[in-house]
Order: sequence, then C-alpha cells, then structure tokens
Amino acid sequence: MKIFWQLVWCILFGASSLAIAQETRFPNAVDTAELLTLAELDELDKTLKNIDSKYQVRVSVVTVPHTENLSIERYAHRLLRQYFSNGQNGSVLLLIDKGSHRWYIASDQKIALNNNAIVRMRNAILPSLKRGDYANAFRHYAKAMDNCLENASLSLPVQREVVKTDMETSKASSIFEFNSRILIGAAVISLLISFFVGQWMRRKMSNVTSAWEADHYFVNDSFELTKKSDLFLYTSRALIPKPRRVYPGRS
Amino acid sequence: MNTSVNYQCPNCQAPLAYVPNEENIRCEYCETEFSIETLDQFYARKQESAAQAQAAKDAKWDTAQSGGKWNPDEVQHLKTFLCSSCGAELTCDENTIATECCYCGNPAMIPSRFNGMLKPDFIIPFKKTKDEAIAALKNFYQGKYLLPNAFTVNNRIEAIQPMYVPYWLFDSDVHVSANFKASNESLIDTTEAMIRESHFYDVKREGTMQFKGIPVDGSRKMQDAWMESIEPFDYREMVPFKAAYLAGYLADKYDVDADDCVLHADERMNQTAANIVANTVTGYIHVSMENCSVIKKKSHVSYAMAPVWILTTRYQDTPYTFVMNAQTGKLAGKLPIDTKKSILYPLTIFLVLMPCFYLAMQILFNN
Repeated sequence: MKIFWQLVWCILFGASSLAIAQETRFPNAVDTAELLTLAELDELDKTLKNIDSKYQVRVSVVTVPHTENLSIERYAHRLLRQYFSNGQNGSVLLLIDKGSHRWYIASDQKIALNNNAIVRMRNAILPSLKRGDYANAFRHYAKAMDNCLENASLSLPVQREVVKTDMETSKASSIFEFNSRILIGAAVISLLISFFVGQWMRRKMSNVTSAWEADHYFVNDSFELTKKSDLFLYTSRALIPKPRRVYPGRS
Repeated sequence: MNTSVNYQCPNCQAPLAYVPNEENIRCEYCETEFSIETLDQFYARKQESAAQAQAAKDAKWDTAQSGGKWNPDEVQHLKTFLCSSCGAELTCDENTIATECCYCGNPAMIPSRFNGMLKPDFIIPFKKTKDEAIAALKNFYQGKYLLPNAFTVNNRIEAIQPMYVPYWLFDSDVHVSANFKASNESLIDTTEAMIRESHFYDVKREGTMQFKGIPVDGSRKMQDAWMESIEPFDYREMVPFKAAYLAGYLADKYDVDADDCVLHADERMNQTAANIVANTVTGYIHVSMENCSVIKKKSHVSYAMAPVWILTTRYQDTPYTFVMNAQTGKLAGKLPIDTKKSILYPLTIFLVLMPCFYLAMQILFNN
C-alpha cells in the first residue's frame, strides 16, 4: 500500500514529488491491489530483475485497485513514463486493473511490441487470470517475455502496436477499436459545426437588417465629457470556504 | 412632473430608515451599511437623473422647419398632366410625383401631387447607372451557396426602376447623462477561506455630442429595414433640391410625416449616445447602465430625396425585390433558399467531419 500511495502522491504533486520518486528505483513488481502474497511478490520481482539484467530491458508488473478515472491505456503509459522507463534497451510494463478486470501492456519507444508478441503474452497469462491465479499468470508472463526477448521478437523495428484485452472476454483489439463514447463525441462536435455552417449559409442569403444605432451620423470629435463622478457606495463580502486537503497517511 | 425619489437601500432596494444617534444608516434587510453623506450624494444624483429623464422626454425635434414651399415658377415648370410626348394619361399611385410614360418612356411629373406638400430641402443625385445596378445584383448572387441553380440560370430581371425616396434627416446637438452601477472585486486568501470583496460604485457621466442627418424614410411603400440596409448615404454630395433632378426618375412624396418618424430617430440616436458614454466608464470589472437621458439642446429636421434603384425578379411565381443605394452602390435583398441544398451541404460537412474527428479523438485519447 505504501508504494501505491507513493505513486498517487507523485501523480498528484508533480515535479517535486517526481524528483524524489526518480531517485527511488521502484521494484519490478508492485502489487498495490494486493493480489499476491509477499513470498509470491518477492519471487516475481526476482524473476523480472533477472530478465532485466539478462537483456537490459526493464520488465515490470504493476497491479492497481483502480485507475483513478483514467483509461487503463493512459494510466499504464503514465506509470511507465514516470517510474518504470529506465531500461537500457527499453521498458515494458504489464498493468493489471483489479477494479475493471482489465490488463494492458505498455512499452516505451526503444522497444516494439508486435502482434505476435502480444498474442503470446495473452495466451500465456489469460487462462490463469481467468481462474484468479495471479501468481501463476505473472510467472507465465515473465517466462513468455523471457522467450520473446531471447528470440528478439520484441526488438524488431516494427511499427509499435499495443493491444489491450479484457480479462473476462479475452477479446484482442487494437487502439483503433470501435469506441461508442468517442463516436458520440465526434458526432456531437461534427453536428454542431455543420449546424453553425448551415446557419451561416442561411444568413448569407439575406443582408436586410434594421438599424438600431446612428453611429454613422455621429459627428466625429463632437463628444465632450462634461461630468465624470464615481461615488463609492458599499462593500459586500462573501466567504468561499476552502476544501480541506486530505493527506495520505495522516489521520 | 414627478421627480420624487424614495430612500431605498442601493443594494437590495429595501426601505431605509434613519436611526437617531447613529453615524451610519444600516439596511435592516441586507445589513449593508452606508454613511449618511454617501446616501445624501447618491439620492441627490438620483433626483438629478429623474429630472434629466423628464427633460429628455419633454425635448422635441423641431420638425416645423423641415421642407419648404414650392414657388409658382417651379409648379409651372412641372405642369404636365398628360404625357407631353404621346398624350397618354399617366397612371400611378397617389404618392407618385415623378414617373415615366408607360407607352413611350418619356419622363413626366405630376404637379397636382405637389399641392399641400413640402418641398424637399435637399436631394442626393443619382450616381450609379442601370448597368451598374444589374452588375451589383449579379455580384450579390456570388458566394450564396444555398441559392437555387434555376434562380441564376433562368434569371430575368422583371423591372428596374430608379426612384427618389423621401427621407427625413434629423440633426441634433444633445446632452447625455447616464448613471451606471459598477463594481470591482478583490480576493483575500486566508488559511480557512477565500474572501471575495465586491466594491460597488454609482458612476455618473455627462457629455455633449452632435448627430447629423439620421435618416428615417418617409415612404410607407418602402420597407424601413430595406432602406436602413443600404445606409449610409454620403451627405457631402447632397445638394439643395431642384425639381430638374427628378426628370427621368420615379419619385414619391412623403406619406409619413416627420412627427411620425421622430420615435425611430430618437431610438437610434439614444442607442449610439448611450454606447459612447458607456465607453468612458473604465476601470471596473462589472458595469451596468441604470439609466440614460438624452436631451436635445438644438435640433433640426430636413426633408431630402435619396436615390435608389429597385430591382425586381421572379422565381417560382414569387417576386424578389432588391434595393440599391444609387449613390454608393450598396445593395440589399433577400434571396430564395434551395431546401435540398440547405440539407445537403450541412449533411456533407457532417459526414466528412465525423470520421476525421473520430480518428483524431481516438489517437488523442489513446496516447
């Protein structure tokens, strides 16, 4: 839990906290969702560190109870970028969101994940994930990653492609999968623009307007300000209470 | 004249009462406190504003001097009841004072129509020709995406008439007095809360300004909105009226007299005067005008004839009329809308934009 709060703290309080966090190298396995026992966590960390030293690729596994209203993709990339991106030959992060039962593999620019690699990862972890056997799933993940790196199938300079899969439905899809919310958003924006363009076209069809001002007939420079008086009347005060800040670890 | 002012709280308008031995007056409802001196000044200004509002209401345009009388020579010069060229009887409505013979095209005037009416003070001569009016109309069609194709392809201008339209021109030197409620805000940051302080002011501005030639058309036949759309006319080219200028053109006499036009002239003048005075209130975050009185110190109304081309075309049995300022070339009118195009264009834009936005948002949110 301590590491989870440290992560949250870093995300919330930006640069200064980031500097502290960067000095601290996080373990390769971080279990804030408490899915593993301490022994399992230690074992996983050691396995991932071995891969790290073998290929100079930082392979991390992070579990979180939720993604703080962010999409799992954004959350995974943010974690990778801020805390797990210091692998010499690249970094790969497997994020498990316990709340939404989703997982996501994010990698940095140095390493490319092609479809084959993703399919291998998925096949390695999904059966165990479905049973709720997280320790085994991560063990298989580490093994599959080790194999991929050994065969250099990850480091091919292919176009970077990341796939996310719902743990329960185990359907694979690319980032260009159909998203109804984005479609509705795009439709609303397009509808508004086309409506305003339509109105603009209609307005252009007539230039008949009544005149309510006589600006053209005001004699330039004829205005003379003869009286200018500002009388202070009263002051009103309104209190805006400040929201109380809740700091992690404090009661 | 009712210029009475009740003592009310400037903040909530509740009645205020003086409590003996108190230095300040406190509103019992909103608890705002005012010094007696401030309230005295505030209500003195209110009374002054009420008096100025009444004075503005009482100030009248001097319409009696507008227009002149025809002299016998001019009437004699205009003397034609029948067409002098072909002898045909001239037919027109009761306000027409100059026209052309519908048989031979000879310009003609109808002097009987001048009886009892005022002679215009000024006239703005025609500057734009018939060809320029047609070119302006064709140019007006450009860039109108919803215009039916058949309208431009089969377009035939049914009638093009040059016409002098009667206008009343209102000149005035005015005194403007306006009160504004203005406020500034400041924020004080304390450990427990933010305190927002709003400081309220009663702002008074007075000034003088001049208006020259606010036009209001004196013909019921010509729609006001149409005529206002082709404003302004350049008064530097306005000359004293001579009947000879009417020859060859249609001309209407006024059928709305100056007294009936003052309301609209006042509306336009007051709006501009209020805007100019409001621009002098600076240094506040919020400003709202409480009242504005425009008192005419000197006023004069002139009667003038302004040149206009009237173009009429027809589409699907509906006439479409356009008017052009025959001095500046400014054209005003309303074109028909193609229903199919008005649906098709926005729909096409929607169908093109939606996938683009969808892809852009996918990329944005997934990165």
